Amino acid sequence: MNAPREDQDRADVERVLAGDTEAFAGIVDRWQGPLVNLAYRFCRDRRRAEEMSQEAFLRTFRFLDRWRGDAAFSTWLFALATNVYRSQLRRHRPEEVALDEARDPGDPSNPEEDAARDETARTVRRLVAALPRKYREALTLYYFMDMDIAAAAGCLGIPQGTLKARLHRARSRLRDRLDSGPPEPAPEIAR
Amino acid sequence: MNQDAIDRALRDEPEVTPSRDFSHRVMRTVRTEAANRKAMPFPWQLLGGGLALSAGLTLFGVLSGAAPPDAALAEPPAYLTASLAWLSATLAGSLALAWWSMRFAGRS
Repeated sequence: MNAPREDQDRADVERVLAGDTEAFAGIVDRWQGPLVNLAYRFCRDRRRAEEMSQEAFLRTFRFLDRWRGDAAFSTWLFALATNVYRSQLRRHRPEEVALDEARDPGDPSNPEEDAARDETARTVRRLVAALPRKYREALTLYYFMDMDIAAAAGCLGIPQGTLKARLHRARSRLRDRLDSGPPEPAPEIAR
Repeated sequence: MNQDAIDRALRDEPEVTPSRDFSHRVMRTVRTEAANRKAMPFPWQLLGGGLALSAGLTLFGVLSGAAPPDAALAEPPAYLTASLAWLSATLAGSLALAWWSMRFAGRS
């Protein structure tokens, strides 16, 4: 999301719009990681995340001429991808939450502390997955966008005040549920 | 559990790495999309020609209707009025269909 990347995006978009389809590969290479990760946070299924990201890239290619260049390409791309993910998840509900696939594969220097932290993180994510859709989306976008309210609200197409209110309610619910005991194992993603 | 722990759990999610062939798969679908798009371009020239012809006919009809004062021609003949009405309706229908098909093609 830095300046050189923005310049590269702009140059690739211009080439694609001029008829050079292969220039789109540059956009895919730069943004496949973020888009797949965002999709994964929505569906918690690696294969599905890739399918959703592929659809998001295809829509990006199809509607590339609608990017007006006044906002950063990344902002436009994430907003479009968020729309695709939300509409796909509305149509095909995920079967179950597969949180174990998201385990950090790193080599912990302190296995016990790392295991406890992992367990806490898994619990929180499981609870987030069980929240109503509007709260889950608000939390997902907010943390994915490095806690940037404006960027997250832009992706969801809602005012910043609305997002703040949803975040507040989502956190309250999370805290309440965390304080009331361990969650049910592997709930379905709530609607 | 405090807010920091929640923040940490959601902020520091492990990264998921796309499959090795993911970008190839995406580019394959993009190339197919580009090929389909080139194979069936929107017939702008036909649309332009049709619009120009319709405009010419409409203008001709209007000028004929506004022709001066011969007693017999003071009122435009009924067939001319009917033709103009049909022409306008057809033109409006064509424009609506063109708009709808572009919108449909953009969505699919």
